[in-house]
Amino acid sequence: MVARDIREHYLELPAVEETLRSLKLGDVVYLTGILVTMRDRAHLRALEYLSKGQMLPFKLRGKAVYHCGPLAKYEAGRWRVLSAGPTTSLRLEGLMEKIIELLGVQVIVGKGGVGEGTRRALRGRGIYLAFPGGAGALAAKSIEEVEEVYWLDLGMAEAVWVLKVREFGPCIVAVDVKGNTLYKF
Amino acid sequence: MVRWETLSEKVLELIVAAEVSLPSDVKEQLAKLYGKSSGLAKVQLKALLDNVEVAERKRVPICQDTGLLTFYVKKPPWLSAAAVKKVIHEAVRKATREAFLRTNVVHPFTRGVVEDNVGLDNPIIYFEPRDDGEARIDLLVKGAGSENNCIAFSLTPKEGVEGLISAVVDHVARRGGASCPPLIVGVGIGGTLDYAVHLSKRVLFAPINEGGEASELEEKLQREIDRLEIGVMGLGEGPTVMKVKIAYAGCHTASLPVAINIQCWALRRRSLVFNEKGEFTLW
Repeated sequence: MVARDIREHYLELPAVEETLRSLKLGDVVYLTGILVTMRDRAHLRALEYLSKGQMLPFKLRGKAVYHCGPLAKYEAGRWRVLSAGPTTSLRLEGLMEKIIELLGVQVIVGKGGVGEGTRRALRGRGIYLAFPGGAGALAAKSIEEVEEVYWLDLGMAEAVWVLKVREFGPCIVAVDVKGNTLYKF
Repeated sequence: MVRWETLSEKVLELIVAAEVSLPSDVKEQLAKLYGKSSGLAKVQLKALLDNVEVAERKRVPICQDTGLLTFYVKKPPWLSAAAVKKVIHEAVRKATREAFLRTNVVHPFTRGVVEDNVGLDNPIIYFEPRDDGEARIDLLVKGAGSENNCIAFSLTPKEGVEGLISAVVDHVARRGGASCPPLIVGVGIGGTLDYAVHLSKRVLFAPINEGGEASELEEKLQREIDRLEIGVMGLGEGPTVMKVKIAYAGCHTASLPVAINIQCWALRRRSLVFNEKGEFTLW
C-alpha cells in the first residue's frame, strides 16, 4: 500500500467546469448543494418521460444524482431522513447516459463504480463520486432538509428525494471529468 | 412461563439491535483493519467506524438498506412454532412503522410494495427443532448490495478443492468490488445445492475472529482474495476481505455443491436466547 497525501475539497453545487476539472482521481470531496436520489425505477420512469418528450417534475441541472434509496420517517408534518448511504451504481448501467446528457447532471454519487457508457456520458460534463457503502447513518447526518419527494408511489426506496446537503462526505473522486476511473474491474 | 407480550418486545429489540449496531467481533475486526490501513482505505474505514458510532448513538439503521430479514428459530418442544411466527410478524410490522426497517419487500413480478414488510413469505423463518433446553432466535439482516452477488453452483468431484478455490476467487474478482468490501465471505460446501446455500448463510453466525473446522482452506482463500487488490469499496486500496468462513456437509459421491455468500462489511446478525421460565438474553 502506498502512503500518500489525500487532497480534500469542499465542493459546492452547481459547480463551474474548471472546478470539476481540478478534481483528480482519489481526491476526497465534501459536497454542499442538492442531491436528487434516483434508483432503478426512477431512472426507468424518467426515461419514459423523456421518450414521450415530457418534462420531469424535478430539475437535475447543476445538481447531483444520488444512487440511494433512503430510509425516512414522516413525523410532525415533515420527512426526516434517518439513513441514506449509496446503492450499487452498476445496477443502473445503461439507464444513466441519456439523463446525464439531456438534463445537465454534474455529479453522480454512488458506490461500486459505473460502466463504460456512463463514463462516456460524463466525459467533459461531470464526475462520479463514491461514498462509502453502508455508511447510511453518517450520510444522513449531513442532510439538512428534505426539500421535496416525488414519485412516492414507487415506494420509499425507489422514490425521488430532493435532499439539501452540507459537506456530504467523504466522497471519493472515482471517475474524473475525463472519464478516467479508479476501478479496475 | 414465556409471556407473549414480552417475547414480542424482545423480538423487536432483536430487530432494532441488528439494524442499529454492529456485533462486537465485527467491530473489532474493522477497527483492527483501520489501524493497519492508509490512504483511501483509511479514509473509508474511518467513515465506516464513524457511521457505526453515529448509528448506535442515534439508534438509526447503520445502512439504509435494512435488508430482508431471515430468522432461524431453534425450537424446543415447549415453544409453539405458530406462536413464534405470529410474534415475529408483529415485531416486523412494528419495526417498519417505527422506521427501523425500510419497506424493502416487493412483489417479484409487479414490484408492488408490501407496505409493512410482512407478506409473500417474508420475513423468512426457518425452524430448527431441538429436543430440549433453551429456545434461540438468530436473525440475519442482509441488504441487496451483497445478497445480489451470492451464487451457488455444482462442481464435479474431479474439479475438487482446487476447482473450488479458483471458483471462489474468480467470483469475488468479478463481483466483490460492488459488494461493499472489506467482505466476509461465507462458503458452504457439500450437501445438496440448497443445503450448501444454507450453510453459507448459517456460518456467518460463528465468530469472525476465529477459524472454523476448515481453517487452513479459509486462510488460503483469504490470501488469494486479498491478492486481487480489490480493496475497501473496490477502490483498489486496503483489505478486500475481513474473513472467509467455511461450513461443510457430506455430499453425493458424484457431486460437489458450492455456495458463495458475499457479505458486506456490515454483518448484521443478532441472537435472542430464552428459556421456558421467561429469561431472555440478547447478544
